[in-house]
Amino acid sequence: MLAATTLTVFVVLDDAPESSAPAAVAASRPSPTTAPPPGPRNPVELKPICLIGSWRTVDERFMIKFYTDQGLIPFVASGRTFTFRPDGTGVMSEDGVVYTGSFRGNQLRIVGHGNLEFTWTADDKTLTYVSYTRSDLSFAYFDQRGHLSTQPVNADPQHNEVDNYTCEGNRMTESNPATQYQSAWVRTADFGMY
Amino acid sequence: MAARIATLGVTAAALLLAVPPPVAAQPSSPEELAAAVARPAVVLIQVSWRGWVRDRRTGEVFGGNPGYHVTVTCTGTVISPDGYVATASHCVHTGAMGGSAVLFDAAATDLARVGRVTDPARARALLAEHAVAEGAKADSAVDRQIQVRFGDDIAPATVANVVAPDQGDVAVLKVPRDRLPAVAIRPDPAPVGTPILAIGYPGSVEEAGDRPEPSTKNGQISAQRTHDEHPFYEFSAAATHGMSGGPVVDMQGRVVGLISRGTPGETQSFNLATAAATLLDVVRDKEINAEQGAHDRNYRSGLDRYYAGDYDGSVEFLDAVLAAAPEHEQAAAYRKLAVERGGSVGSGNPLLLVFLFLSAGIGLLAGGLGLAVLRLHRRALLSTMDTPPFGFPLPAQVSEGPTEVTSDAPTVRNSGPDPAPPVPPRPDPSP
Repeated sequence: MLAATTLTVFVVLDDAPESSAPAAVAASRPSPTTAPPPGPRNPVELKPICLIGSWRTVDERFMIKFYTDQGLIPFVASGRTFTFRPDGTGVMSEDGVVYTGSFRGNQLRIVGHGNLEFTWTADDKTLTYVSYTRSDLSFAYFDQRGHLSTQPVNADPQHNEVDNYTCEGNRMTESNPATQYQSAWVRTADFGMY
Repeated sequence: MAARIATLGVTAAALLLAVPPPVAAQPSSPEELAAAVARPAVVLIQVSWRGWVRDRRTGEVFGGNPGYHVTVTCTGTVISPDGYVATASHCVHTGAMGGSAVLFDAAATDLARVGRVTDPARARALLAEHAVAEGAKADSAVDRQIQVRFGDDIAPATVANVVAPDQGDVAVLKVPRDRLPAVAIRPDPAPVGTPILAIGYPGSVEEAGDRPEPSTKNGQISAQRTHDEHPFYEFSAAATHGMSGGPVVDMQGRVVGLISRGTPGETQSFNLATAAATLLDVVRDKEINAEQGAHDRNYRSGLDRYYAGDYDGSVEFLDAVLAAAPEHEQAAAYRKLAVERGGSVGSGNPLLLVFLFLSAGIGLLAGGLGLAVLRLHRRALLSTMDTPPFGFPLPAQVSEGPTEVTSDAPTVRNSGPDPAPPVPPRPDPSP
């Protein structure tokens, strides 16, 4: 009987739930806080990633002073290539790009050769050619009489040309209301591709 | 008369013990019990990454002015009630296989949006090789915020210890919570063929919703592997994004490993889990006490009793769990089921045991009393009989031995029904 009682007490104790201290008060629990966002990043480092890369113009429209004693004449061209690097430098290349226009029924041509290196900045709407840092670019001028002259494009540290632009996917447009310049570009795989 | 009293006493006790228990809610499979044991310790982890990606070749910085802000989900496994949560380190590690990879993916998506990606895989590979994820200043650390979700409660977490994803893929987080439901870690390697469950929260933050539920997939250990001297298990259960860090448990609900990653080029049936041995190394390295608490053991006892049909006992143990951990959702759920099946508060085993004990005692007492009366009656008869010269041998003493004392009285033993409580059998723990 004693043995049975002892056994019973032992088993009853073993069969009871283990005790735990009372639960903590939930209100004291820390909750996540909204940490201030890091940054901002130095804007000098930030360039529009759409603009970065290499491009080729497919349609450009210029208003060019061809004759010294005449007004601006519209020209069209395509095939110039641009590279915009993330460090704010870039290069424009022309390998025989032909600009065509007409004056009094005669065809006018301008043929570009060479490279123009520049610096640039941009935000999401404007593209600024800050300076022409180096150039071996030249333009040859032709009309119905033939070759008129070839003129170099010199480096211009103070160039500061501000254009509007749009960039979406593989296409870009650039325009300047003041100079009536308009262009459409397509992306090439020469630079900036992953 | 005394013999009848004794008989009635013993019979009453026997009848009490013979009352059939309610039909037990047996688990439909070993997996059901394993899931019930382990799921309370499975938590949703949200990791928010904020930073920029810089290509070291060109200096190009991706992320714009605000930087990238990406939140990913993983799964965690509570391994200590004191707020320690194990997960896969690639969920929280800042390196190229962790948070940096998340930001690289964001940059690759950004680049693809603007037409600068020819092949997404190549883009990610190039970024992984040439880029760095960083904070607002070059080479500064990215911002990382980890939150662990326990039902409606969301707790901030810090990294207590971590090994790189390619060095074992284990991290242990610390959250400012206690009495969390924790799961046991299996100390020995699980043999190939061991049935397992892989538990985790699949999908994205958006898919998780307000009340995310973990998914439980069954399978088995397919192979034991080693990567750079770190043990992994290949397992056949399905696993997908978001389940990383979730437990792979055996049929006792013990952690065998943590879901790590899929096998490249293989189907979903070839997933890898970091072996529990690596987790134990990480835990020991920081002297973290990865042991279950009393409420975990009570929860297990409550489950065992529930599945054994001891609903009163189940309610009792689960009440103890809820007293210590009121937010233990599974304990509340199983308690509700136990109550629906007839379990009630305060009618658990202890009272039943006392009643049985008293009944048995009364039975024994009555039996003994009856025997004593019979013996006195017999002695009275003997005193009036003619006796041989040397008298009759005395019958055996009732109170001195376990043997039967009379041939005409009801058989009475001094060891009545075992008043110990009917402990329900535990489910077979073997895999």
